[in-house]
Amino acid sequence: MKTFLTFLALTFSSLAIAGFEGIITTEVLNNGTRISTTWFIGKDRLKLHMQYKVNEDTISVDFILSKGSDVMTIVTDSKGYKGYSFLEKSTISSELNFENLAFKNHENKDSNETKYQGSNNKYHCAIWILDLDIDLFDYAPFFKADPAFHLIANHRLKGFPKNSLLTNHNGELIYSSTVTNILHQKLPETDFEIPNGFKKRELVELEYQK
Amino acid sequence: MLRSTLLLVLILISIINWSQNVGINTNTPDSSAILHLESNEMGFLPPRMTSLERDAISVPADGLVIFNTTDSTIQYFNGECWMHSYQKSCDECFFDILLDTANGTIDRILTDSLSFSITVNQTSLTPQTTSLFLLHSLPPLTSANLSQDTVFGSGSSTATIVTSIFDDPGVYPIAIQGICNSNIQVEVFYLTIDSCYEVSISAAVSNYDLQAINSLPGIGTPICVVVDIDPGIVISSTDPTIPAFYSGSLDNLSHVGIRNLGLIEAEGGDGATGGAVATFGNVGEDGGDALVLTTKTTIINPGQVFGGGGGGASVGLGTTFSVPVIGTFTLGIGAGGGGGSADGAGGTSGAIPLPIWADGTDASNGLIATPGDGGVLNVPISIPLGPVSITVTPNVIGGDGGDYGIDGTSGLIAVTASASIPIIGTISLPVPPITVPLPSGGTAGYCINKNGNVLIGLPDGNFQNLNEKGEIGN
Repeated sequence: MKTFLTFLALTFSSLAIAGFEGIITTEVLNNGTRISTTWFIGKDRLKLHMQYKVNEDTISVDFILSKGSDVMTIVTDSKGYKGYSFLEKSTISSELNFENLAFKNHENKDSNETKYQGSNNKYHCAIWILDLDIDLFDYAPFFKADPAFHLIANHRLKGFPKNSLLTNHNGELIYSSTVTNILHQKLPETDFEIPNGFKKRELVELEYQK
Repeated sequence: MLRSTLLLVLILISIINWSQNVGINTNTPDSSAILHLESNEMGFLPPRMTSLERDAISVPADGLVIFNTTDSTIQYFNGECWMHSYQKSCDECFFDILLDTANGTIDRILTDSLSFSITVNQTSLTPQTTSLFLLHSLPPLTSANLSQDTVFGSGSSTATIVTSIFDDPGVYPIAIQGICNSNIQVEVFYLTIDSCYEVSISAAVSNYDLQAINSLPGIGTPICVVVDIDPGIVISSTDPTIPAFYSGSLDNLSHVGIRNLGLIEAEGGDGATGGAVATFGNVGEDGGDALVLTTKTTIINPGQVFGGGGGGASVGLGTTFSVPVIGTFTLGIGAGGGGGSADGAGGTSGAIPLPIWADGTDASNGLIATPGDGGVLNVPISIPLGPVSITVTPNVIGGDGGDYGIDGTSGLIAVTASASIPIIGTISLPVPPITVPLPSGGTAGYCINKNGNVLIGLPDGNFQNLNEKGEIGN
């Protein structure tokens, strides 16, 4: 484990110079459900890919963002809904009350990550930000259920959250996110485009039973 | 010559005597009479003439006597007018009253009234006004009126008697009195009011069929029947399709009188049940009729006659949502209609229940019944779908039952939804509104369904007052 982290640190320090472009894989535990996520980080684009099961249907979802845009494109591939739709930034909210999480940073001088800790009347939170040349600030309003993005937005941080932990005051884990792999590579534009065969759809489509 | 002279002397003596005090066929004329006639075989014959000839006498002397051949009476001139011997003054009125019939009967089946003609024949020298009056002790709901209560000279008036089915039967004399100047004439008319069947309802009863319950004569035998409903008595129905009070199979020429001091309340329509997602619910049941007529009816209603309220419509929604991030999920949701007053049952989920359902409530009964409310679903429903959680907040309300005489209402279906997505947060899902018309509530029943028959005592219309609730008509 120590070897892996040392490898990450060396890799990140070398990448920080040119600006990061590549793929970061994380594992998220959200209210007891485990999800593998992949972040495609381009120059001015971002794509979050998730894959999970709903009942017997495997669902693959891409959330695609461009810097400066107020709209997120959601590309869904499932039996019941195959297509893409748009989501306004303003329509996203969070049931998690991060607003008054007061973070303090405890920088670890021996590594290229910084730990932030915060708490409010509901949660305790700890986030480790890797010192990468990634600016997620513009994207943060689209990720309101991840405390790391709240931290990034509030402290105008650069970097990527290597680990995030959110517990309630009883010590129960609400949310965690852990980076499992970082791949530095130039990403083709097609990674951020809507794949062929996907049609525009409404956010909600109803079919009334007869 | 001597003989002639003697005769002349006798005549002169006679003339002198006659001019003093003359008797014919009597030698001793009454000393108070200037002319005294005596006969057992002949009469006194005054001048005989017609009224026209009489009136041609220029400046008749006071006391001038004639025999008027026009009206065969001795008349004398009193210095002002020609008087009959029995006349008191020049303007004394002479008249007769004649009725075209002296008696009549009101059967209160085919008719509640009768009329007869009063003729005034006046023989006065100059026409005068005769005032007519009807003197009687008729029962309280019976009236007697004249088409005109004065006749000038000779003429006629019509008396009209209108009775009520609720008045006591019997024979009632009506005196027709004419007064002209100081003379009075009276004739009597005898009114007979026939009796009716009498029915009293003094205990609570349901689905009341007047003819059947009382074994009254049916079709082919018109009758009149008076029904008294005692104070506090409730006449109800057990099903909206059955009236609370029904005249039944009486002959349609019959006449029913209802004196209601109780409560005639129809059954309200049931709230609609669930199951019909294709039409977004079911129509509420119609309320029942309180009173249904099959023949002419007169009503006095200090009590209450309340038509049944319509049942509320149910609402139902069975739909498949297609949503990004999730795929599809189905939602079956609905609510029953409330029952109409009185006693309409709240709608239940029905034979094919929807997974999420709220029953309508039942209506109560009685004078101050409360209609049932439609079922209400407004608590958010959380549906976990893998790592994503959908929250559906329904605003689903079944139609309310109608109060007495009021239609049930339609329901309401609206749904808002949101999805909680890991990392992203909560996004609101813009659920399209349902724009098709939802099923309607049941129609209120009649307060009084005339059913094509005549109703006396209450006007047509739609009422919401202390005594009548619902429509009177049809």
